[in-house]
Amino acid sequence: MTIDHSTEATNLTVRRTGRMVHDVPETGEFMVHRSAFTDGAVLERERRNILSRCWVYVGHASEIPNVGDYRTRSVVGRQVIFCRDRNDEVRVLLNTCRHRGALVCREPQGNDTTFTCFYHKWQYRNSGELIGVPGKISFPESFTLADNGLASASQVETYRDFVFASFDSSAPPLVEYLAGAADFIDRIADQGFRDGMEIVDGAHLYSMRCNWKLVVENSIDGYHGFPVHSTYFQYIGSRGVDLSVGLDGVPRDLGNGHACLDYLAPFARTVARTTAPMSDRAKQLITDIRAEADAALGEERAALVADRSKNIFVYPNLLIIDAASLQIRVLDPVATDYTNISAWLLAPRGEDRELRQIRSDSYQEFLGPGGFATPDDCEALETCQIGYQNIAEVEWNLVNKGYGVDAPEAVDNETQIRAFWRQWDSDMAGGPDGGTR
Amino acid sequence: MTSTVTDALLLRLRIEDFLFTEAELLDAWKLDEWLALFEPDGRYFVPPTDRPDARDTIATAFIIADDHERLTGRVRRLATDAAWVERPRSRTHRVVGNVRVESGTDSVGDDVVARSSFIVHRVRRGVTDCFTGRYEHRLRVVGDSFRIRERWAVLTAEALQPTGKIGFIL
Repeated sequence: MTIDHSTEATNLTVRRTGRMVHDVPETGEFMVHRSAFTDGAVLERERRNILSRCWVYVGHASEIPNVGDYRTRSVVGRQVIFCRDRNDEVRVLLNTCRHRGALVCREPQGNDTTFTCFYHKWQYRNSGELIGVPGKISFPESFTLADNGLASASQVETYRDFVFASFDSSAPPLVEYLAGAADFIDRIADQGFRDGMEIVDGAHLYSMRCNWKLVVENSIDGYHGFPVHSTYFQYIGSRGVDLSVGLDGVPRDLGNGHACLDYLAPFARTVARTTAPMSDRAKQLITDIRAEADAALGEERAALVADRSKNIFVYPNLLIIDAASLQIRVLDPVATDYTNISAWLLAPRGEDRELRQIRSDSYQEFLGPGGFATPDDCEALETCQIGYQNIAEVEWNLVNKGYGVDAPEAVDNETQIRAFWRQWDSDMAGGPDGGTR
Repeated sequence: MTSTVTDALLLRLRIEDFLFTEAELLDAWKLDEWLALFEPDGRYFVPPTDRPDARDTIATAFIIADDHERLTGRVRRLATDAAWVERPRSRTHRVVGNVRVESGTDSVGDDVVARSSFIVHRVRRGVTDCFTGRYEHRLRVVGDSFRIRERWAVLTAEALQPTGKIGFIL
């Protein structure tokens, strides 16, 4: 074992540099210090250097299709109103009255042109302007409606119906920030080549008693699939799904901390892959859709969009799991050892009901808090978090699979996870102005 | 009149017995015996917490909408050593009450609909989680007992936070 030796060496490194990621390409060493998952000061710094500076995912445009539609939610610890104002502009407003702070919108969703704080009846347009203050005459002249609209995210941009916000006015344009992830979001959005994509009604709101970065790692990790999810694969095999395909593909570094796993898998894909248990009608529909995709997108592109599974991480809070089914998974770090997760099923708009049923079945069988797989991931991650109580004796995690190894890239390597950690480390190492990007 | 009241009361007592037996089997992890309480096409549903009243499993993404085959798969999975989330198994304890019984409609094939409230505590690795909600059992009368056509577990919670996951049978 060389671990003891390298741990000793890197402890010196971390003491010298304060860095929590130890990365030595020459020797293929890549380690993450476990305090990254346990230290409250780290989470505070993440809030400052990452969550308050990056573009973060807020929601999908299909969740607020009509003028006046709104949803309230927590986005990386901020309470926001995600809405479509009267000019059809998507807004991300901070849900707090400028007067004393109460939530101005207390419903999870609805449609309205204004939001009125019930505490003192201050009224705001759904574009944020303050338009009504009872007893205004007795406020001093220095107080103006114009200065006291609802605060908003510094920037809001939509890419292929994925709505992002940044709470930093100096964040680069979204498409520049997304870097290589933009093309992978295209490969999701293009599955709606007929009529766009839509979030399916019904959110899966759950949590894990672990650090948010454990969920990031796990969601794009091809190495754990068979050991953790053997019961899932046995189950779909028992229903007649051909498992001989296996998982075949590569991890990818998409730049700026974004990463993905890009692979072929045995899962049913209602845009491309039929499986034995499907009805003849469903198989025919899928075959037709797949042929149509060739015509609409070109054969090469259609193969990337339709045939390949993709677990995509858009740094820092969005995961798009295009595997057993198509899931939007959003992370909201609450504490070092506790993360809220919101997840939705994404589907082509107007999908045939039988195909939607297949998509939904595949989702439930693998994904979500009642599935045959996600709960086992939860067990893995929560026990990692508990294992970190031994940090005094075991300080470092290893993330070195496939690093500097003279062999072809493989789906169960950890290249993509290293890409995430490098960006994280760079952001965390930055001063008040953040890291390099 | 007297006999009608007595019949209704007896039916409710028989249903309560059935529900209490079901709760006991689940808490004891006797899942094969529990599965045998279902009709061959019996189903099990948990709607998403933001849509507790949803009934259409295609229009809404359910947390669980098991047909009998998937329900059987769920039970088989939990019997293996590799359903990690329940190895070691949670201790669960459930209280079922507020039982109300109404006759079903023949058109959908149930004889009796039983509505009840549940409180389920899950204890595992130092953490106690509490699930509350209502059950709806759509039952067929079979001899002296009942068989489950549909079993709905509708959570009170607005989110599975902090309960996280439903790795056991709710």
